[in-house]
Amino acid sequence: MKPILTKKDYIQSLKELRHTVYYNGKRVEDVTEHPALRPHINAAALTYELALRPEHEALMSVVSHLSGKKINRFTHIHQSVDDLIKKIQMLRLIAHETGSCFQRCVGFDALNAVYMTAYDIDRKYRTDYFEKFKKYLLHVQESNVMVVGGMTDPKGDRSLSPSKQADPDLFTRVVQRRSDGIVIRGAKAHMTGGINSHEILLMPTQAMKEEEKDYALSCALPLNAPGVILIFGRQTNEERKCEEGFDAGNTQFGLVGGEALIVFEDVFVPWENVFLCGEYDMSGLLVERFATLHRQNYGGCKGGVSDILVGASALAAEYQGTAGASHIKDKLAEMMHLAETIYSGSVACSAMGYRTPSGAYYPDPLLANTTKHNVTRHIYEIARLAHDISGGIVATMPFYGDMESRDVGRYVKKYLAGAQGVSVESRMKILRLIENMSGGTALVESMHGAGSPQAQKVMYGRLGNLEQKKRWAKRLVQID
Amino acid sequence: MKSRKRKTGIGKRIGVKYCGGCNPTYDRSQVVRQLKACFLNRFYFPLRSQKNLDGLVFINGCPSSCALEEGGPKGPVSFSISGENELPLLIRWLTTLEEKENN
Repeated sequence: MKPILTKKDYIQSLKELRHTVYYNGKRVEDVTEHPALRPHINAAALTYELALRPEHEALMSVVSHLSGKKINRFTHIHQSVDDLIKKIQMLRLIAHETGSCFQRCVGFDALNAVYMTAYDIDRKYRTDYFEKFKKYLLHVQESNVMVVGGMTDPKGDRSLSPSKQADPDLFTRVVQRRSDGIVIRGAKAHMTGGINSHEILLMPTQAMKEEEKDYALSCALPLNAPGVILIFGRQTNEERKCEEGFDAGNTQFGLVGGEALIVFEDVFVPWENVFLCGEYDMSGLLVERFATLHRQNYGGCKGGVSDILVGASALAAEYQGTAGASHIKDKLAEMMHLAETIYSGSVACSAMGYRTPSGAYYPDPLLANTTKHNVTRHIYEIARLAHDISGGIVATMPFYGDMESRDVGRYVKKYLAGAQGVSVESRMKILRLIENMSGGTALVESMHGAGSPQAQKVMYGRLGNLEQKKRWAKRLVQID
Repeated sequence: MKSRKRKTGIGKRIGVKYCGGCNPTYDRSQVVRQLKACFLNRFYFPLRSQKNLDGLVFINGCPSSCALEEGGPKGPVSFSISGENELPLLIRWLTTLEEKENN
């Protein structure tokens, strides 16, 4: 496969993929031409484009430890603390360009998690997953394909384990083992970037028990493999992407990543692409590593997206003549405080990262979980402050079509006028950006992406070292 | 012909290395464009990765100065900036380089 270097290459590769994608009940023949899907493709395309720009090469590109060649950082296995930090810096940089999720980090984290864990599985079980995975990784690095990180199963009745579900397919599993490979059945939910990626790297969705061996599965497959069906997830305001004008807010890059339900209807996977199959006691480790690597990110990407929201809120205040008010300055300062707080968490867990036996570097899990947990709160507060600053007009503004209307356009331009010298169009554009970035799908993604708040609380219990904290307290007051 | 070119400073190759630009406080590309305009036809500004450089300029987006190589700059003489306000200093440094060559 010819390496994908430019946006043009990427778009062409998606046209040639011919994977089975559905949007609102209809099959999509060419995802690159669909107005609701194109913004997500544009966002992901920047992960290719920015790597070609000299002013971003230091973050976007790196030398592969496998081949010695220059590769896109999204296909890299972290070799140092510096790599972990540069990942965060890269995510913030791209978020400044897109104002939205750009999807490729999930696959990036899956590659790193499976790399580390395949090594450990081989050490315990004398399997050959690590060598197979390195071959797969070389393919990803050389072709520069985009990989979905496939963790989350639909899970059905959450009070029941996978093997106890009424429908066993509610967790993805192996249904057949053959001499040349396995056949899998099930689905993965919330698959970010699914419809505009080339391949998927599956991982188990949770730690598995012995009776759940068939669910202890990690493998890679192309998204156009027979039996793979992608169903795009509905988003807040998505009809606006199909309209003319700027009511979608972020018309170029959309909202959030664009998530899909990916179904596997008896899909064949050759053994060379299988990296965990039945070693159920290692599934929890893989899940935890992926979760940590993914939670590490959120201060970078959401920090960068928050930077855009801060800028937009400041402009909204300027455009309506409230920028000089002390309470506005105070609210903007608080937004920046929260954005830098989440960013600093991502930097901290990266700086405190360490080397795993595989040689790959891994962020500090407690700090990564703390970072993500902060994001689940601070993004809502940042959004609330954006609404506070920009005013009720964010929720009541007329359509773009009204501004353009021969009948009422003049009223819109007259009565939405703000500060002198600012066009009504500029004011409306910024307000629509704030509206779309701070509501609905965007907030839910910040809450649940990479794991819900309860998942982070579980990690405090596991990693918080409570017994040692009790000993310190007792020692201080001299209790034996 | 070649030595006469070097004596007058025409064709001096000054490599440009950018930081990654995660959160720059100014437009780094614009600063490099200004530099090129200032030294038009006197200096060439290839990327850092090219060989046979007479000097090296680090264009950092902020005081963290990530473009500076580990252990300090190696190889040719170099100058690092981390803010737009340092452009005049950089221009002065390059001018000095040019004058040394001419003398």
